[in-house]
Amino acid sequence: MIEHKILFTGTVGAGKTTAIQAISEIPPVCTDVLSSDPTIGKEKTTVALDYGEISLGKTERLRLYGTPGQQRFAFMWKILAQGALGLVILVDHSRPDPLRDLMIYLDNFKTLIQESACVVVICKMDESHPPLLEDFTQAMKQKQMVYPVIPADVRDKEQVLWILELLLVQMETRQ
Amino acid sequence: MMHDNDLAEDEIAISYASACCSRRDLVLLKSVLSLYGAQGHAVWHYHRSREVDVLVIGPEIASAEAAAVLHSDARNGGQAMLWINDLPVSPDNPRVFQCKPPLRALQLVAKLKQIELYIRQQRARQAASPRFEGREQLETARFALIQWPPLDFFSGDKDFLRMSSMLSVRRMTLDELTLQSTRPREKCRKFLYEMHRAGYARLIGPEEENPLPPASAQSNAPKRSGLNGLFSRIRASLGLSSA
Repeated sequence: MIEHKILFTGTVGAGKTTAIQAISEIPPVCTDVLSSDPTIGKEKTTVALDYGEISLGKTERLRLYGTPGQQRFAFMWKILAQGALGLVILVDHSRPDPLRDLMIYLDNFKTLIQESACVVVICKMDESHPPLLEDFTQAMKQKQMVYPVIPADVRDKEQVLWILELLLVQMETRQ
Repeated sequence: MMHDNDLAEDEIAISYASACCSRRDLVLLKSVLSLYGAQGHAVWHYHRSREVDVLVIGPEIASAEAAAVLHSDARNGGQAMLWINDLPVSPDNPRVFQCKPPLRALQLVAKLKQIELYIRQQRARQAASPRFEGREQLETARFALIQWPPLDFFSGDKDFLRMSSMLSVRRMTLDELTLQSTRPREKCRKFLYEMHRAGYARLIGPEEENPLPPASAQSNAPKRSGLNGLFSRIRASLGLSSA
């Protein structure tokens, strides 16, 4: 079996599990446990990874991995990043400091981003509150990492497919 | 008429025009601008044409016309707009500066400072980019994405979004972009022209001609050979049309 993978990362509650669920052909395999952290705002959270897949034929499949969100699981991020075709970073705009959240993922996945493809998705965007989309693009420009930054609702399959479209055109361009 | 030679070294001249403004707002604006310029800030001067640095739009504009102006503005070379009205404006449009009526001097001065900073940054960006010689150069020059544009720039054009995504991983010429995107050459030309004009893409000088960043010696990236057809198969499985 030939296997490829795309990675979804981002803060706890940003929607990694939901995004994978929207496009996976199989019911996603989640390793959620009851959360002991009351600040993350949900009962269960992912501690190892989420997994979904898309069949590309009889002998080939695309694996969709969601990383655990909390930074204490950063050791898992590097393992999961090995050999990935591209990365989707989900940023929860409703968190206290979403710009800082984004920087954490840009730093930790820097090598993968520079060598593959990356789309930054701002979830739960509230345009009446900062940071604005422009603040995210400016912050990325400062780090010389200029990639798509788009708001999206990852519960909507069409929007997740559009995210993958922007990722795919980068992969095809790099080829 | 103000000439750059008339200015002190750090001063800049900013041209502006107005539309749909009330008489009261224009009088206040001109009074504040004369005081503002006298305090060592940019020198603002009025023009009748719309080919100016800043367009001031008053409250008497119809909302349909306002929407048209905003869309054209997003693709129009970085022209700043001072909106003196209550109309909704996307907060992530960096060129639009809004003062809600009734216009007050302090609020106006704060916006003038923001606009001045914006124009200084735009001019610095243009000065740092190799000189753009027009259509002929557009045919051969290589372009790099320097900032992801705001959503207003795209105006819902998915081809422009795709092309921006392509340009985020590779510096490209018009020929390369046309080939890669499979979109009409005229559309690709328009995209590059507008991206450059708005300051989101810059020309690459001959000394930077490396189109792709060098791969790390300890690359984690999958082997690129053997990817032929993979992306087509992914597209087919996801129901996405080919690029």
